[in-house]
Amino acid sequence: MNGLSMLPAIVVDVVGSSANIVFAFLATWYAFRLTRLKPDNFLWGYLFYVTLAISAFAVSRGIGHITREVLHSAGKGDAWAYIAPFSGGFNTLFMIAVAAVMLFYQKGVQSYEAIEEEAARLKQSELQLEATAKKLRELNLGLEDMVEKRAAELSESEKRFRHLFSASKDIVFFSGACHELVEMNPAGCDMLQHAPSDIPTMYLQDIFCDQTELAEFNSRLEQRGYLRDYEAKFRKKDDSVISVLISATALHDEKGQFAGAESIAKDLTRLKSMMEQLVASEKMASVGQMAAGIAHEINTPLGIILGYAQLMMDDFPEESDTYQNLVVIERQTKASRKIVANLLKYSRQSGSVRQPVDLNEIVEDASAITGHNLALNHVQLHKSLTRDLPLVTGDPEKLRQVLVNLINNANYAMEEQGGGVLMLRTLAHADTNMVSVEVQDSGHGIPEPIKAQIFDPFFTTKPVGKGTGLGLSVTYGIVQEHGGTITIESPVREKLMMEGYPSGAGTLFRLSLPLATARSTQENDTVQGKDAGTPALAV
Amino acid sequence: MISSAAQKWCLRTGWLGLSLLATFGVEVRDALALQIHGGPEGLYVHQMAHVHYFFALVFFLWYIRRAAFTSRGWQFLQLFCLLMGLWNILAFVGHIAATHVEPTSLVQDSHYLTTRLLPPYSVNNLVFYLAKLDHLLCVPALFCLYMAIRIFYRAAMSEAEEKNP
Repeated sequence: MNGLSMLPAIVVDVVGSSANIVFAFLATWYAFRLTRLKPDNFLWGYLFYVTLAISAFAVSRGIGHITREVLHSAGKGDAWAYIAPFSGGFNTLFMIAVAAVMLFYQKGVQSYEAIEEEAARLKQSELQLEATAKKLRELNLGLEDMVEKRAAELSESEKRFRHLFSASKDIVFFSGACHELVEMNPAGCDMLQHAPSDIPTMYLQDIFCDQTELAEFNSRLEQRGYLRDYEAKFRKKDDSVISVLISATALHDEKGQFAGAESIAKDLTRLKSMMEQLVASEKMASVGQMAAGIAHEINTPLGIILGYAQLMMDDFPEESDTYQNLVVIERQTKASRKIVANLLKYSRQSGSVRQPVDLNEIVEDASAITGHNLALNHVQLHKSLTRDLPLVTGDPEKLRQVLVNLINNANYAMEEQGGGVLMLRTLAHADTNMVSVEVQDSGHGIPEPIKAQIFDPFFTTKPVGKGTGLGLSVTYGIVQEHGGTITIESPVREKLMMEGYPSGAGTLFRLSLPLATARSTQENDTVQGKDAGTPALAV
Repeated sequence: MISSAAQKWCLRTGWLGLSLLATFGVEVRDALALQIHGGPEGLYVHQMAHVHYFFALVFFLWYIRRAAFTSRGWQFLQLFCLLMGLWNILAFVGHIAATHVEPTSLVQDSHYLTTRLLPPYSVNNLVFYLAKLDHLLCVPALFCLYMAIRIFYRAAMSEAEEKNP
């Protein structure tokens, strides 16, 4: 047997064709299930159509081949010759179909990739959106916490500042662009005696005493934007005046326009009063020293003049003109010596006796001495003496002189208006261990400018010849010597009124002396030229 | 009134009937009014289909590789493309070789199954013989296709089960 047998080719053809059909169908079946499993997946749908076309191709080809082999084996070659063109035609057709479907893969994959890309982008966007939403939620939660925390801090801060504003003992106030008062703290309202409800209806000009000061205050504030330690005077509701030291800051709106000011004013009245007292004390001390020096210097020549005058009087008969002239010299010299003695008393250079003194008795004595003059001037005397008044330590004679001086001054103050009321009071102050005597009149009062001068030596408002200007100076000196204080209130808050008599501003001298101690009560020391304590002068 | 579904059915059935009649019912005779298609035409069309199929497979393979699908299923699919492409080449060459095989080179003694290729064995005849064994290429190719789709299915199934246990 020559040649290669075609039987293996025939067997491979039949078996292979069958296997092709089986595998193609299995692939198609799985692809179909795949599409059922994921109907929205384009790729699996595409593969299903590919496998379907391949199955069709495998069937057409496989059946054609098997038919050919079977027909040839059965000796029906003619039949195959008739079928062969159809088989070949279908075979070609399905092969082209498979190729066509496969070529469609490009578009399919492109679409799939585009869809996948879009899906991935969407997923990414979704993830980003979710992350953003989460962040936003966290931020929102955080924001709420932050807002709550900030609000609490603000509330706490507001509370603190409100407390500072309310509890401040200085005058804190806010003013607007037109210098209207917006708000004032309670201490400020109290100090200026205004109700808090009145403040919004008021302007700065209502509290500034001097309008020139207000103009300067506003001008400086608007020019510099702030003001520091500006001294001014505020008017209270009762028209009394207080001195204040103002620090202020201008407020501006968003356009930079002046919108008002926030100011703090410190009450300096007490401080200024103390300063004035201090200055007055210092002045009095220096004047006292000077007076003492002068008195010593003048006393000696006066003594010589008096001595010689008296010696010469022995040499001349009393009826002679010379004798009469010497009498005048003697009288005037004695008057001069009296003035010098008063100066010495003022400067505490004169002798002094210390013993327990009942001020009620002193008041009674002084009123008895001056009663006649008071009655002549139509001054009605009232006495309000505290019973069982504690004793003070002092020189009764000098204290009597003090009282007489003060009563005479009061009498003089009411003389012009043709009379008035004089009140003498004695009071005990257990809290300060002081006893005070008040001499209050209903006279014309003491003008503000001269209040600080009334204790100066030789200062007087009386006409020439009527007063030496040493009365109150001596009074001051004696009080100082006794370790006491003397204060003046003019005009007087509680005025004295008497029917039929005019009532002026009035003046009240308050003399305060320390209580006598057990030791000082037993002693009757004579103190010569020594300070008995720290004196004080209040005007 | 005929429903639209019924209309569609009639249309499809009519087309199918006409196609079958044209295919099997009409005997091809010389018709002067028609263009005559000689014998080689069918073979040329078939060969063109092989070329078309081959390039489609190459295109498919290129796109799979380009898409960077690296799972085992896609590897089987690539193998399918490769084997099927080789089969196309073999079939193409085989068809050419078949046209050049002398009728005297193939003899049968008594039965078709005893057919033999007689010597001398020219290259053409040997290629013809080898091309007759083309199923040794296309059967593994379709097996790879089957494997690829099955792997895809199982992977999708596992994924679905994971999502909905």
